[in-house]
Amino acid sequence: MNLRGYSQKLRALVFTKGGVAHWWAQRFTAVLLLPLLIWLVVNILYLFSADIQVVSEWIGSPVNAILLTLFTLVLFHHAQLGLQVVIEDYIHTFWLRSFAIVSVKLSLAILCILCLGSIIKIVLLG
Amino acid sequence: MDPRGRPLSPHLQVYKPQLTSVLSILHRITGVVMAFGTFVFVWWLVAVALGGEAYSILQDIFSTWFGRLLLFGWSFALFYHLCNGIRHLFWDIGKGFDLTTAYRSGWIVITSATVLTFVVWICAYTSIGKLL
Repeated sequence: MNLRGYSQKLRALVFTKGGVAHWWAQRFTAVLLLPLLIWLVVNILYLFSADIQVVSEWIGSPVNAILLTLFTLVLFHHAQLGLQVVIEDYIHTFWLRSFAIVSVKLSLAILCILCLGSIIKIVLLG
Repeated sequence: MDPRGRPLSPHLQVYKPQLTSVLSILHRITGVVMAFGTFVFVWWLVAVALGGEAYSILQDIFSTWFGRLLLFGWSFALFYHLCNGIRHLFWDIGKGFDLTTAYRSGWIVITSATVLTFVVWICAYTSIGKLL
């Protein structure tokens, strides 16, 4: 395969494959986020002024820890999908677009891991 | 810019801003703003995991007027994106496309997002008078 063919194949692979799945994933995560966000906002109102022991106990309780983990995963996935669409719409230079998408994915993945790690630490060690 | 130098459509600058177009771009802006805002959520969890001092630093920063302004802005972005997201989900199932409904739902979104933002902040401040 020559370089031009390879580039076109890569382009098709990165930007055209999975468009329908992307669309559905964005809607699915949006619908999941609705109840999770309402739950979180109501609870943050209660935690807003609380001291760290109260917050730590709240996060550490099994139901909250599970819901918070679910929220974290869905939130970062939704953010990644949304930012990818914005990048694809406004950045037309191929390498810059790829770089932006990969950077966003990587950054959000790191943030997500930090959240999950923190939740695990709070559950296990308080 | 198109790599082949061709002009791109639509040429937004020739259009008069309308409620529908402004709300549409606001959905994206609030989405991007919140994506950056996730770092507060991350910071909050990490601070709780790290313990006492890290958490009090976080509380101190978000007790300042600027910290509160950021949180207020993010809360509005959240409620706007949430309400307009529901509007988008209705469009996705093919409902509400006609002009009258699109404008009406647009105003409903603006009103709901504003009301929700203020309700949440009133709740936050009334239950915790000491933070006033």
